[in-house]
Amino acid sequence: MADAAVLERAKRYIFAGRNYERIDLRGYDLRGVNFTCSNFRGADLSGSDLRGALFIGADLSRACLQGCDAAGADFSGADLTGAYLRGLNLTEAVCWHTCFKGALCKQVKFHGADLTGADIARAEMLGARFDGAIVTGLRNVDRAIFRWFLSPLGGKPSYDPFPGAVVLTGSLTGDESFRENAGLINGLGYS
Amino acid sequence: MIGLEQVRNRLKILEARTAPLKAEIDQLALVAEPDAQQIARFNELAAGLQVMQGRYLECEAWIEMLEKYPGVSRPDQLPTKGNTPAYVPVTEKAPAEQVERNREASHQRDARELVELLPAAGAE
Repeated sequence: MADAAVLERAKRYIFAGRNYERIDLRGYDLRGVNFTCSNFRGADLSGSDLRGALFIGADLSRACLQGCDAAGADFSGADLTGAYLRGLNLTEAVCWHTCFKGALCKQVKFHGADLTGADIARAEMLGARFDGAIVTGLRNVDRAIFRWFLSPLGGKPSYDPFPGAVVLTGSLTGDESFRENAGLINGLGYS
Repeated sequence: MIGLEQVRNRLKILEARTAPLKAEIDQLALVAEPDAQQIARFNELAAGLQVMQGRYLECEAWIEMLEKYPGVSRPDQLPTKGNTPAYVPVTEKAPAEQVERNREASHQRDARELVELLPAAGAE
């Protein structure tokens, strides 16, 4: 009970401009907390509840947000370069000019999210869905990965279609973390 | 990345190259009593056309695939539940009896293949 009271009080504080580099915040309830301009480089927030949290201008590069619920959160101007976002729920989230460069966004739900001016260059978007998302000015759409094309004979997945390929539009392992291309590499005798 | 336009151009080039060969082979086919040189040329052309036919089919397969899965280059082409079929993972396990039956059939098939590979006893 005391913890809940502390948490409720903590939500009223502003954790802006703080340094949380490589912090372990797995499974925490961080609803509505203000982390504006904070540094979360390499932090682990997997499984946390981030609904309505503010990450405006925050640095989340190489952070892990696997399975987080960030519905309605604000990531405007945040840097998510190389972040691990598998299964992240960004429904109705605000992502103005957010940088998703090289981020792993498998199975991310961008339903109704505002992605105005966001950059998704080299982002792995296998299984990501954008129903009702505002995508005006979304940058580098042609450089993101939305499908995998697998050869029936084995080998590494291709991101471009080729005859006889098996197409994959979603992650086979869903929200679970797993190296999907494991065993598909030629020369190791697994394929 | 291989574009649709590139493959279509390749197809046009192949068609342009095939046309004179086809004309030549048609002429050779009309010769009543061909000499050895003409027969050799006919065989050479037939083999060449066969190879080109393979390339032609390959190009058609590429075009089919590229038309079926066009690249995502604009925000309005982003995957949604409407335009992309949902992946439904197989969660139900097959019944134990079926698994056992499949395993037995697989073993029998392997054994048969092995028997076929082995030299017959007493065969010279």
